[in-house]
Amino acid sequence: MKAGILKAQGLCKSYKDKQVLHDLDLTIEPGKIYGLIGRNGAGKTTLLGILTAQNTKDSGDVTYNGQPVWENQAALDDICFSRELQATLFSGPNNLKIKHYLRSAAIYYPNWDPDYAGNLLEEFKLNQKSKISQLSKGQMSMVTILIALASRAPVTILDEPAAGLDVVMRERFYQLLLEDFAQTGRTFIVSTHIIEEAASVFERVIILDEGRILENAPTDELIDQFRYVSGREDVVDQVCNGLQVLSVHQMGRHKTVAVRGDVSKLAPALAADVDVSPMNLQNVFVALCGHGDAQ
Amino acid sequence: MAVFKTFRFLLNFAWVNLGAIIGFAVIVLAGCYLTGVPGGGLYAGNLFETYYAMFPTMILLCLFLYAFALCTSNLNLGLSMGARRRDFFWAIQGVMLFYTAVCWALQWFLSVFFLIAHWAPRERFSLLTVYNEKPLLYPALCLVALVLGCLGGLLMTKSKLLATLAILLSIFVLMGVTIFTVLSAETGLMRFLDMTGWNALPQILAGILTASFLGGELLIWRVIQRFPVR
Repeated sequence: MKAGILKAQGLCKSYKDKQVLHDLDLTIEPGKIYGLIGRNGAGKTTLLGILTAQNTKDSGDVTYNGQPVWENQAALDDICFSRELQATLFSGPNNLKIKHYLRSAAIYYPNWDPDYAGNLLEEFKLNQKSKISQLSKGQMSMVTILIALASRAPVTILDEPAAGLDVVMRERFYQLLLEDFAQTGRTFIVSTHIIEEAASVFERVIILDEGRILENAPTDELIDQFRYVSGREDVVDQVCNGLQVLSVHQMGRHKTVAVRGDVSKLAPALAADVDVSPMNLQNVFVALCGHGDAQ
Repeated sequence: MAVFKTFRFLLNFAWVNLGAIIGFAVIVLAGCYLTGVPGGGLYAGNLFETYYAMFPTMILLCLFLYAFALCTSNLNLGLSMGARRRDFFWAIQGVMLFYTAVCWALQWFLSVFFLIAHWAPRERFSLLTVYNEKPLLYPALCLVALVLGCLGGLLMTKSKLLATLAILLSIFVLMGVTIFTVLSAETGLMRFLDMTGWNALPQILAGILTASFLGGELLIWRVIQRFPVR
C-alpha cells in the first residue's frame, strides 16, 4: 500500500470563544512514524479530527494527495483514525460491543485484515461480545490499537493508544507498531503523553502547544539541539551566552539551565567547571511547553 | 458505491432492531392464544389483547427509539470509521424505508390475522383496521417517527433542552394524528368538524406531518454535515 501526502494549510478552529488551532500548517510525509505530543488541551485530538474529516474547521485546507479530504471517499479509504474510546457516549453508557467496531471496520477499511484482527483479539484476551462501557481503560486502548493495526490503512493515526496500558502492554504495542511499519512502510501518527518510552519509535516528532506547532522535526535532530548545563551560577551564565535559555533552576549558587542552540558553542563548557548533559525528548518537551509550570 | 457501504453498516443494527419488533409480535400472538384471547369471553381485556390492539402505536414508539440510536452512536461510529456524511444521510433514508416497509407489513398482517383466524370480534381492534382504510397513513407515520427520532438523537448531542422539546413535539404530533385517526373512524368526529367549520383539520394534520418530515430531514442533513465525532 502506498500512502500519500496529508497536508494541512492555514488551519483555524475555535470552540465558542476559545481558539484551539491558530493558522496551523502541517505536512505528513508518507512512510514515516510521527509522534504528536502536546499538553492537555493543546489541540491534538482536534487537529487529528480535522485532518481526518471527523471534525469541522473554521478555515484552512486539508488535502490528501492534493485533493480535499472532506467528503472524499478515496482519501477516507486510505486513512484510519483510531481514537480513544469512551465508556460513556452522549450522556449514556457506550453499549456498543467490540464486535460492532470490528464489523464496522471490516466494512469501511478496504485493506482490513480479519486474520490479523483475530490474532490481536486473542493476544489481547478481548471478548468481542464485551460492551465498551464494561471494558477497563487499558482494554479500551487495546481495542484502539487492534483497529488501527488491522485496518492496514496507508495513513494510520492513533490517539493516546498507550493510555491505561501497563508497561508490558506498552512495550508490546511499540513492538507491534515497529513490526507493522517494517512490513508495510505505512505512515503512522501516534499521539501520546508517555513521551520518553515512545521517543525511540518516532522518526519525526510534532510538538503542539496552545494550538500552534512549535516543532516538526526528525526526533534525533531535535533532541540534539538541547542540553542541560549545570554548575556555578556565574560560570553557567558565561558558558550559555549566545544560546537560547529555555528554563532555569537555581538552588543557592548552583544553577541548571536548559539551552537550545548550536551546541558546539558549549565546547568551552568542557574546560569550565560545568556539567553539560543531553536532554531526552521528554525533557525537551517540558522545556519548550512547560511555561514554568514544572518548576 | 460508497453509500452502499454505509447502508450495509446500518443494516447490521437494523436487523437486530427489526428482529426485536417481530419477536415481540410473535410473543404477543403466542400470549393471546395461550390466554384465550381469540375466544373472547372471560379472558377479554388482558394484557396480550391490549398489546395486540396497540401494536401499531407501539411500533411507532420503537421506531422513534431506534432512530434515536441511528443518529447518535451509529452516526458517531460510522463517521469515525471514515464514512462520508452525505452517504450516511442517504443510507439513513434507505434504512428508514426498510424499517417502514417491514413495520407496514407487520401492521397489515396483524390487522388481517385476527379476521382470518376468526377471533371473537373486539371494538379495541379498530385501531388495527383503521390504517387499512387509509393505506398511506401508517407508512407516513412510520417515516415521521423515524425522522423525528433521528432529529431527537442529533439534538441530544447538542442540547438536552432542544432534544427534550423535540421529543415532546414528536409525541404530540404522532399521538395526535393517531388519536385523530381512531376518533374519526369510530366516532362522529368528522360530522362534528363539518358542523363547526373545522373540516380542514385532516388536511391540517397531514400538513403538520409533511412539515415535520421535511423540516426534520433538512435539519438532519444540516446537523450531520457539521457533526463532530467523539
